[in-house]
Amino acid sequence: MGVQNNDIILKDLVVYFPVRQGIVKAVDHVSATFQFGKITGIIGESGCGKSVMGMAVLGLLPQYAKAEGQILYQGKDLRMLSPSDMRKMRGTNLGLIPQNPADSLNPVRKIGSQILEAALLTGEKKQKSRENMDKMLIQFGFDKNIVHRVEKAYAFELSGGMQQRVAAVMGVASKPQWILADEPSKGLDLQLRKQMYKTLQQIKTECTDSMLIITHDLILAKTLCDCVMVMYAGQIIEIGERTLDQPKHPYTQALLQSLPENGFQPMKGKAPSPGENFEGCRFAPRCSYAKEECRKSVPGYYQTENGMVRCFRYAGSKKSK
Amino acid sequence: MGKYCIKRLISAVPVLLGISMIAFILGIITPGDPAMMALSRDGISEVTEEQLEEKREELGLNDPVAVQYLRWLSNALRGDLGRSYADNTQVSGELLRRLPVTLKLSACSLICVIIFGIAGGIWSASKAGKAADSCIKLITNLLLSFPSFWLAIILIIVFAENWKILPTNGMGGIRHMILPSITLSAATIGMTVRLMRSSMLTEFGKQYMLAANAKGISRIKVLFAHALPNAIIPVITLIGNYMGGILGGSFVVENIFSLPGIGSYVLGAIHSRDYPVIQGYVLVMGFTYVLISLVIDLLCAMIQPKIRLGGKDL
Amino acid sequence: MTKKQKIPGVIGLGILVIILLLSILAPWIAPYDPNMVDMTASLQGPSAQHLFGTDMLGRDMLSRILYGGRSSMMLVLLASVISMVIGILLGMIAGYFGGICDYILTVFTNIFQGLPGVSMMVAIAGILGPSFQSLMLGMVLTSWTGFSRIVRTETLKYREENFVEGLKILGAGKIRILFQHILPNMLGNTIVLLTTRIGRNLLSIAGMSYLGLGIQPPTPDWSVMINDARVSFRSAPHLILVPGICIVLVVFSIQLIGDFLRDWMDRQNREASEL
Repeated sequence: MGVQNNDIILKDLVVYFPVRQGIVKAVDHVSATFQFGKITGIIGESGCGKSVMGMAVLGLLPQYAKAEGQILYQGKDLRMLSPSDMRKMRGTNLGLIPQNPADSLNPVRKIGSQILEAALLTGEKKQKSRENMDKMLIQFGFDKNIVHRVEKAYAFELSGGMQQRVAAVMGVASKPQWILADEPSKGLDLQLRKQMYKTLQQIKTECTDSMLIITHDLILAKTLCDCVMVMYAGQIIEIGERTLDQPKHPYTQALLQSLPENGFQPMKGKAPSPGENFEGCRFAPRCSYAKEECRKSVPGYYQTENGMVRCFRYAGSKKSK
Repeated sequence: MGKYCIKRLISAVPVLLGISMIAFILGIITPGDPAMMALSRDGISEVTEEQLEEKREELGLNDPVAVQYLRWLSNALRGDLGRSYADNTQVSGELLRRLPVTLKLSACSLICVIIFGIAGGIWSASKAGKAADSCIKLITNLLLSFPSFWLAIILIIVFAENWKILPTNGMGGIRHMILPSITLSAATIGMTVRLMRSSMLTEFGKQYMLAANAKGISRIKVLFAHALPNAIIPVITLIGNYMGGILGGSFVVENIFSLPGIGSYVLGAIHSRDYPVIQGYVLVMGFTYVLISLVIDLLCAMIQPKIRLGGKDL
Repeated sequence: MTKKQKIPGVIGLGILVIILLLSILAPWIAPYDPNMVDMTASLQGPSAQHLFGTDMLGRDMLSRILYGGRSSMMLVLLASVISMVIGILLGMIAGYFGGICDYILTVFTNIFQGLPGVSMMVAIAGILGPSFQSLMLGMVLTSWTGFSRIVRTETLKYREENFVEGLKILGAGKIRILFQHILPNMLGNTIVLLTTRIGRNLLSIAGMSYLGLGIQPPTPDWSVMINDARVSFRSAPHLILVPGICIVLVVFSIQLIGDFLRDWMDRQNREASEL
């Protein structure tokens, strides 16, 4: 290949948690490519394994989690890196904007010191890093006059919106190549959610184009993402650049129909519980198109005009992989 | 912050009053007639009925109990805890003279607890689930199982009698404090290690730790700059409680290492049935402990920005 | 719980059961009268006649060891259980009825907790003389607060629970709610505390006995034996080591059992909250 490949490529990634009753597969044989320079959105209901997949990419799975398969980045398998090499990979190459900013800031340390320790990873001198930090805070909408006060404050002294922007600055302070935003709009009211969209937009223009946005917020995915992947019960069931404009998979269609502007139709059935065993297509029990075939055998990926979909309804088109 | 301090100070008042009452009640349940004992202290051996009645009146023993208590308390607050039956000296004077020894011993033990207990806990937590962790757990269990006097004897035999590297008794420089404070702090170290470990593990599970790890800063930094400042708060609170064990335990340790503290004073007093000393011991111990806990509590509040700053918004 | 996690608990239980059995059966299995003085056999090393040797007065060590834990273990067990009962009663009253009841009890708890460590036991033994009753009184007065504290917190928690509200609507009496419905729920935590308390109390009474304020000679007692043996530790170190190890083993095994119970309780609670 010669040139360094900055895409993040998942190959047959499996993540499971051993529990007393056996194992719970959170991510089940997922293969995907997140393209460098593009914003990829991963959507799905809670419990579908999207956050676990994101944490696997960052190497931040809890200790009892087991993973198999490969996560390729810059010609290396991230899963094979030593913990300290992975640590170096985070920060400078892969950054995280965590969910729930209020809990993501250390309660007993000042905001400034928390951002600064990330900013210092760029290798700049302390003075320069400090200036960068001020600049970034201003970029993310803090008034010039209060920046220094914010830096000296503790997390609990900030409003929800401020905490959110601080958490975003913390994620990008080390100038990572990739940003992973984990449920950035989860639990936010409309006002804060709008601000979050703005913040993410800002990251795109000011910091990096390469983002992985894990969300259940379809509007966020629609407005911001270049490519959207839909996850269901630990598997990716649809990938494409126009997934949310022209949904193919019955699940994606149902998801979109549940949006207020599309008629607020709730989805049938209930989301599969983790650890459930499947036969055939995983969505079949809730799918209004389900046929005998769907319940018996597992669909592969089928090519559509804009991407790929895992549903027998598109079996007429060319089968990929 | 000021409000918190005042509230905490006020809450200590009924406790201090209660302790004084207990000390007073101990004086009442004393077997024998206090007037008789006071007379024999004064050197009168052939006691007449009139002398006894006179002494009773003088000591106020004919007054109602409540009056006696208030008189006793006001005397105590003015530093008069009565005179020793044994040698007729002021009990409070002797107690105050000996208090610094007990406090010095307790302070040295506290330092041991802070150094070994907290370091052990951090280490154990960072190795959670591994062999080192199990090993520390075993050691803490053992530390919690040693009777302090037995540990003291073993330490004396090993370090003082066999290797002759440390002194065994009496006062002196810091070297005289090493064995006593290790003995006195052993059990508390065990408890602190366990508490620190579980407190660290609780912090490890929190969201901000995930964020800190995602930042890519070194493991040492994550451990010491992020988890530790949070994990140490509950530990400091409980070290205040553990001071009780240390102060009370000094009673045994002082006797074995012949340190002239309050503990050895009261042991001597018990053998000579010198009740005012026992009363004074309870009072001084209780007050010292309550005050130390109070200071540690306030200290603990101070290191928490949320309490210190009173939660005002920017 | 996996087998591996159970091992320490099982070991602890095993040690404790063995020691308890030996102590209980002491009158039948001890080879000599523990107080039989035989000056001709003073300070003997271990031999076929005297498995653990003899002490200064020629008393058989093995017999004294077998008898030596009986009084203190008995005393501590009794005092700890009494403290638990008192603590549970007062804690439930404070937690359930609240208000002035609760305030007074909290102050009382703080007062007794304000007397550090064994100082209360020392004072009572010092004033009333070191009898079985006074030791018991001192121990109960220092131990009950821990129980009342956790029971109060737990009762407060359960008082707000739906099932208690439901019972009230059904017209169940306060006493019935407290004893039949709330008490069983918190027995687990209380028993965990009981094990720790027994361990602590054993060490306290050992310290007191060592200084002559606890179990009184001629009753054979491990701590008293250690004190007796101090003068002769050079010639007969085992006289100090063996009784000391006995105390350590008892407390250590109780510690292991307590840890096991705590882990087990945590697991139960976690599973209950997951449901």
